[in-house]
Amino acid sequence: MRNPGKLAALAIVLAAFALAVAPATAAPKRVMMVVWIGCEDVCRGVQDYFKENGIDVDFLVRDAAQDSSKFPGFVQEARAMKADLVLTWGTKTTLGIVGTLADRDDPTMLNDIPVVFTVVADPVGTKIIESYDKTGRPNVTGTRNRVPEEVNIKSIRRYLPGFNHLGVLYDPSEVNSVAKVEELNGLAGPLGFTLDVLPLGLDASGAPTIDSIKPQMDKFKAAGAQFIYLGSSTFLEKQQDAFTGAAVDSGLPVLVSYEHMVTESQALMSVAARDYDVGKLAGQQAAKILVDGRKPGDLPVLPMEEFAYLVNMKVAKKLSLYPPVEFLQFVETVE
Amino acid sequence: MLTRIWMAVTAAIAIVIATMAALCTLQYEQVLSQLVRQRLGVTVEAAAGPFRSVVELGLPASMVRNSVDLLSRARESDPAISEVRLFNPSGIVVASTREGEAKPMRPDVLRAQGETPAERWSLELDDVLISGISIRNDAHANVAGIAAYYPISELTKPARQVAIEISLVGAGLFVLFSTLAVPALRLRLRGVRAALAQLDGVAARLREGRGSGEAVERRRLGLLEEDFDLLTSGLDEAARCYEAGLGLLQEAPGKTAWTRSGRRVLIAIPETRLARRFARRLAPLIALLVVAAMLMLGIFSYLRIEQSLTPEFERRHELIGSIAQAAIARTLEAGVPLDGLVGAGEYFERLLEDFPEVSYFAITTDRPLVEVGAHIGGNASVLPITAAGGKTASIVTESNPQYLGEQFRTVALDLAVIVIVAVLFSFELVVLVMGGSVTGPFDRLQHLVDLQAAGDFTKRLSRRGRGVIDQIGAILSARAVELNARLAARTAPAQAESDFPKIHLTGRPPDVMRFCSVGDVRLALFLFAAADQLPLSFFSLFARDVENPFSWIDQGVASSLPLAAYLLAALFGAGAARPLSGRFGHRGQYLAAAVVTVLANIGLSLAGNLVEVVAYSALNGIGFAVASLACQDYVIDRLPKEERSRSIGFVSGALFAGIFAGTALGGVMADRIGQRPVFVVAAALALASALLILWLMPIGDRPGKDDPIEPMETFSLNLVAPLGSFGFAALALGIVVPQIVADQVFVSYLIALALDALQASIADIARLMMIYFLAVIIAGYVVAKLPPSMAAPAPLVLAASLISGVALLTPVFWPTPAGYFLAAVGAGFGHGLSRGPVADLVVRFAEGPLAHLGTSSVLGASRVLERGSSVAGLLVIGALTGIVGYAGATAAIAAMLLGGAALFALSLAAPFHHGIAKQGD
Repeated sequence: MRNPGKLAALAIVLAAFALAVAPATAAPKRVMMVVWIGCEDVCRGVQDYFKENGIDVDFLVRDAAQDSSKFPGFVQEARAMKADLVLTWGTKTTLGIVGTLADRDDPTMLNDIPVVFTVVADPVGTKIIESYDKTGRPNVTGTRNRVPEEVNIKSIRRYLPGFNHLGVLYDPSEVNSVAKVEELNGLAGPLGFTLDVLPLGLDASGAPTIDSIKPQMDKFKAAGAQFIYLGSSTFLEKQQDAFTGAAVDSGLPVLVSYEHMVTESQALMSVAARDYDVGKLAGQQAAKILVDGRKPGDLPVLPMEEFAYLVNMKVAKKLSLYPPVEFLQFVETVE
Repeated sequence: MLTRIWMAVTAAIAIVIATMAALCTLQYEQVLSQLVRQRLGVTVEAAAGPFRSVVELGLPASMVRNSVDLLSRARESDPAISEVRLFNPSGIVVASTREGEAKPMRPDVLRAQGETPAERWSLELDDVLISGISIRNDAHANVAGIAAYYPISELTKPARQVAIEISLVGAGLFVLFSTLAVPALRLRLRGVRAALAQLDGVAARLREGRGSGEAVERRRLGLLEEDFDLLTSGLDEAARCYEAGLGLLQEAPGKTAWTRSGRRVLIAIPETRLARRFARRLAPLIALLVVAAMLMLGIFSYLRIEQSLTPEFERRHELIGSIAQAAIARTLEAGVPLDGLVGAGEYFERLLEDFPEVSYFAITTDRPLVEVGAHIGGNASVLPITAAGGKTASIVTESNPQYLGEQFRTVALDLAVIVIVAVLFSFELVVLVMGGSVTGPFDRLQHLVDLQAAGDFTKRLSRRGRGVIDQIGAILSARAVELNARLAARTAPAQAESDFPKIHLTGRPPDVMRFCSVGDVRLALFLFAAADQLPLSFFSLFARDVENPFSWIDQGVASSLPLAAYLLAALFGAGAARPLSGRFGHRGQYLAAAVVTVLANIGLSLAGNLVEVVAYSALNGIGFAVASLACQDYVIDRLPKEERSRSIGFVSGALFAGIFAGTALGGVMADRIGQRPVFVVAAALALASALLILWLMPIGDRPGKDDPIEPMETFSLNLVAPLGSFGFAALALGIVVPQIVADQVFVSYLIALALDALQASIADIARLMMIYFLAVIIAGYVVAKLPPSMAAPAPLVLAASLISGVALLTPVFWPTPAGYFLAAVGAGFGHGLSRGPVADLVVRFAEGPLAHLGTSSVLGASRVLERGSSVAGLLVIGALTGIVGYAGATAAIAAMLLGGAALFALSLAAPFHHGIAKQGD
């Protein structure tokens, strides 16, 4: 090495040149996820999707903890942090962040940052969007994770061939819960079953009460209902043990659209997608906006493509209501 | 002579055994392929159950989260299955038991799924056997499919093994029967051999220039003694004439070397009594040897197929049992107690519906818990299951012996068809062999002997073999050459007649005689008819499925267009046949037709759309009409008039035998090798038939000025004049037209489509068509055997139409394969019953009340009506199927037959019928 000084200088120049011509590393995208009852499987699924696909994001979870008054603050925070995208979990949360179609020009709602909603039972019925193909809102798209209600009714009938009487407990304070009751009412005639609908009792503040669950179950039993169906209610989902326990105590099986109520509680059966997979689907929809630069308003609501029938055999035993042999050839079971 | 006959018999046995072995191997492969597909069908049926349930519940099959697990269960049922796939209607693979991303389904697999009306379908490709099932929604539209893949090697290995076994057994049978043929022929030809030994002496004496009679010792000549006397006395008379000729030409040089041979002349001679007796003596023996060899090979093949069928059936039974066992075990594992099983009966009932192989399902402990089905004497299979708490139970399944019996019946029927085809083929072959080796040489020699005994030395035989018959023929031919040579050396030919009034010489090289016989065309026509009918059982399906560029044409009409084109072209070809034979000779005419047919069939095998199929069908129609009429005209023009009707009968027999064989084989072949390759086989058969004609039909049969062919088949378009007669109109429109519509439209077009809609296989369709042809042949035989008091044509024709009409009503009220079977039998019998009497009545009209119009005009009108109505009927019925369905269209044909019969019955009361009835009485 005859002239180490010259070589060092050359190396420094080359390194400086390389740094100069190298593309500037893209800054991580800022993503906020607003949830209603903490970061659960859906929330984890979204984050894992980003990680698995090498999408660099600063992921911020904001938990409303069942308090609707926090939503305006989350909207302001998203604007302040210049979030690239906001994910919303559940009907209440989505309504709190983007409002309905009537709120498209409301500055208190998030109409200027891309929003992807998920776990919304009926976004069209609750008027969050115009249709699944075209949301009608430039900054909003989402995912669907529910099977049509007709599938649920047919599934009950396949499980219990003589089924003709359904009971639905709903939360009158939740738009989505009320909308689901209306939808089921429309199906009762064509599908040939009697529908009994009972609301949860409300306290002075208008919030549903746990104590009202058991008496309503007894009423269903007395009226001859054969199955209870949870259409959509964040409250009952949160109070899953009280809800399903009361039903089982009354000798009534429960069909739900939330798998975790079968795996973690006493719902007899679910026809649903796995929450974690729903989260990944939301991540996939978000990636189209963050990575591919697509406009949310141009993206149709992305449907879930994998569902499963899940039966809780412990509950089946408790109710002495075992699934038929043919049904057990394709359902998944848990103890 | 004995050696020549033995060699001919051996060749016949070899050809028939080789054909039979090839057909049996083909049949075995088909059965094996079908069995494997059916077993795979069980697997895919079981795999489809859960997906069907999900679709019934309203979700797409692709949305089942545990779909790979469900497919894997199916794959585990048979370790040889390489892959099971779930795919959507566009061919995208949604789930597969093979890891990694699967390529979309091949278009031919999707096509097989789309084209099969039943839910189960299968496909055999070069490297893989695929069995699939379509999952359909409430609207019966395909929403998904499941396909199981099976390596083709699993099929080809046992098939190759059996092919080797059949070949070895065939070779053994060939050796056995060709060896047996030696003593059998010796025994059978004992008298003939004695006669031949005598002829050896005769030949020796003739060579020495002596007479024949002195050498003859009449011992052990048996039945041939009288015929032998005729031959030898003729030889003696011929020798006397020869010696007389020699005496007259003593001064001429002994030998003259001709630099040219004589003219070739075609000779038609009636079959001699000696040849007939020879044939009667030998034909049963040869037939016995050939048919026995063939039957033994058929029996071996049946037993070999049975060996495969029974274990395969049991394997399938066990597979179904294991599917039921797995389902119940899965239920118990999920926590359902044995005595709390829900819906097990319904589940087993669904299995019984899906798998007719099983007649009974049960779950038993110390007593039956669930029982479905019936005990009908099948084998029982007991599989254990363990419930929670260690309690054990059994799944009992019983096979369905009726189903197995049906399978055996199907195999036996298929093999019976092959045997019948081989018998028909061997019959034609034996006739050819007999003609070439036995009767032909006798006939030729006797004719030459008769000529020379009458002093005619103007003709000779061509050199053929080295047997004693040929030697004697050669000696006699040499005598003719010698005498003519001497005459040529002595005097001018013009003076020959006056110089030797009793000896006929020309002073030119004697004409070389080329003999014509019905055997020249029989086998060729048999092969040609087989080639033409090979695609019959599937042709309307082929035409329906090919791409139709004219979507505005009704599907029913479109699929009938190729057949209509065929018939129209055949009508044109029939008209052109006579002028063509006048211009090019029967041989040239036949060869040209064969070339057209070969090209047409190759074209059909490659045809991509309906237009091409129509064009090639038209060519095929021309080819068949021209070739078959070339044979008929050859017989009419070249064979002795006294044997004409019998010879035409033989030609018709070969034609129908070929039609039967072609129809039978086409179905089996199409099921095995596909529809398009069958056209290639048809082309090969037409080519083989052309080669036979090239070999057997004499060159130079083109008529010269002195040998005009009578124009006997001219078409008259003047239909009005004959139809002016009420009696003829009633016959033509009431009997001829409905019968031809029943024959050409119901059998050639409607049956295939109707049975296909009833989910019958192509082989089933072909069998039904064969039944029709058998009924035609049997009815023809019945007519020939009827006592004269019952053979009056008019009542027969009426009865035939009534039988056909009533039979065709069967599927109208009972639209099942059995209904169509009865219709085919009745229609065939009716058609066979009416063929002869109708022709008879037409001729009686032509020679009686319509004699003033001329026979050609009446016959022509009848033929134009016949062919024209087959085309028009096809188009009308094709259009009707789209409106009233197949049963409705069949009802329309039945109404035509019955209405026509009523019209004809009315006409019977007319006075002219009494005149016609008296004709020919």
